[in-house]
Amino acid sequence: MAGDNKGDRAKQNGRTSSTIPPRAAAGVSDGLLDEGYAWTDAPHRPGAGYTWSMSLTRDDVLHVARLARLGLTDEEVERMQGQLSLILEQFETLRRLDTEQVPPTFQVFATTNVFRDDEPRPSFPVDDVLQNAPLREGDYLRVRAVLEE
Amino acid sequence: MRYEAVIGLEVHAQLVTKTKMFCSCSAAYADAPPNSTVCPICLGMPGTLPVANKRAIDFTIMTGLALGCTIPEWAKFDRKNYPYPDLMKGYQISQYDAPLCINGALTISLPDGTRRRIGITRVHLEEDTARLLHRVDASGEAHSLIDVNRAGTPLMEIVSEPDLRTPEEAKLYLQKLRRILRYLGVSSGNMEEGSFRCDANISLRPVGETAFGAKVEIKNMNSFASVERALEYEIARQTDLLERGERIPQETRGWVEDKGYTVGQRSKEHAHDYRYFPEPDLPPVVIDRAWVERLRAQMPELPDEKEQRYRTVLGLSDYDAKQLVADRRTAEYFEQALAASSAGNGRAKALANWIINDVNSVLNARGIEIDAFPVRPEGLNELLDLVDSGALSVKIARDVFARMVETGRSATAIVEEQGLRQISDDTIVLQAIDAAMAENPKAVEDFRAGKTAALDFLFGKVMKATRGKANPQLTRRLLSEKLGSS
Ligand SMILES: [Zn+2]
Repeated sequence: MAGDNKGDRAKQNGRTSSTIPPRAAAGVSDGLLDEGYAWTDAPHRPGAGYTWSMSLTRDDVLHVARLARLGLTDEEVERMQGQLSLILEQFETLRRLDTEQVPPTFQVFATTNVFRDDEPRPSFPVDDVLQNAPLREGDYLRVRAVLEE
Repeated sequence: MRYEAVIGLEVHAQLVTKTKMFCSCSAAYADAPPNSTVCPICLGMPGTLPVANKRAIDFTIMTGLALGCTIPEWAKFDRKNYPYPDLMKGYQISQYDAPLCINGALTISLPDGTRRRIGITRVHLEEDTARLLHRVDASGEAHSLIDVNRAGTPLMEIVSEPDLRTPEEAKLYLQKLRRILRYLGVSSGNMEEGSFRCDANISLRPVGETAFGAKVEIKNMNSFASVERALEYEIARQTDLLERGERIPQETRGWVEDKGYTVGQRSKEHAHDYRYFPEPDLPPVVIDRAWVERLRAQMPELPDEKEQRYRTVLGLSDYDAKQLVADRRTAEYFEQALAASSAGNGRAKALANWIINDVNSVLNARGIEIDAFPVRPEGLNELLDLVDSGALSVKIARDVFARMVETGRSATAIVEEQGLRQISDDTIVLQAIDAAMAENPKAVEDFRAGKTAALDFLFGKVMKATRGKANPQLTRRLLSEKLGSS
């Protein structure tokens, strides 16, 4: 059910710019973010959860696999350990470059401010919405019990 | 040892936009049949493209301005990854390190008059999740049903600094924040319906200590009262642990409303490994200063400014000003009535009294909001016109008001129909006085013998004879003259 929602396609509302402003321009200081957001707490940031210049451990691979909901065989874990470590090594090479003066790239397209007006359009019929549901009950999607938070 | 609490609040407020945050589906999910306001975008189908709702961004920036935030030159959206069935895409579009608003503050007034400045770390925009219903079927199998309608509706998150010190301060902060959102018209702020949700972070430390203790996050509080109670409970629980020399583990606890305690929640493994990264489908938001100023110009007068104007320009008391601004629609009602007043601002005090006492007591008794109040501002003003012109005494005006509330008819119509117009004609009042004096010679004698209370007795007789319609000031004056002269 690839939707024909072209009306939601961008209306170019603002100016375009080829450079995305650097982080500093946002007035965002590293002290701003509370614990839940702090870079230093985020394991995906360099130096926090993963060791960059060394190979990934088996546990690292299992952790990432779990986050991606992938079940890996022992052989696959070993293979991924090698391949993912190789990727990280490439980044380690890149990291040696001095990027002090280079604004971070958050986006590869030179567009900004693509917005919609707040005007409702028809949604999809419920039968289309539930077409790919593995299980349906009435007009709901049915899933295995989810623990109450 | 004495401990002080360090409290920070995270509020999620639903925005009152017509459509969702990133698609054009209706955001009015509350009364919609399940899965009826859903499209491939909010369902997270591959190949779809989210496009941000301009109004939601405007609302968020306005909120930031109202909270004295800095609006950065640009902001961006990020993906927050976590696997849970209420997220159709496997991630939530949120804002990580470049939110729309940063570094604001909100000042609360404590009952003793102290003012406390509570820092606002950030205000950002994200999307709400789908609703899960937990069921057990006939065979006893537990399962969950998903209604995607709410998924993708705009949610604004307001994060405070850990500047709050007591449960009462937390409640005052929330009340004030909600009032501001309602004045701005960006959120209904209804806590029971979940359009205004609050999580609290709380830690304890010995008084005088500046470092923070272990932070406990409390969830599932769905009223101001439960926030206050949950924090009180948590302070007692943590104090007890600390006094017994135990450590407080950093954890998330859920408030159990009917039991009145918090309980540790099974920590979701890897729950905080959100792996935020910039949302590649949404270009950055560049906020030029003209945009910010345009929004600033559109902002209504906020409660603090209004309260001050009521005191300084209209001469209302502190109490009256606070009462009127507590609810935006009450303030609007007051201002509409004042605008209709022929007596101009001179009627402010009288209108304030009527609204705070008479109108509010009907609202409370009937459990309705002022929008549904049968007497409109112009109607209340008309009633006060009759009082000021001398056509009605305040006492009779109260009866007329009650009839207006009951029947929805105008003050003038009720006064004419029931012949309630105040008698200010000397001749008619004098006739009633003569009759009262003739019927109560004893009272007349008493008065002349020095018993001034007898005047009140005769006054009462005159009022009774005229069914309360005689102009009281006139009656009293004529009665004194009459008793003194003959
Ligand atoms: Zn949609």
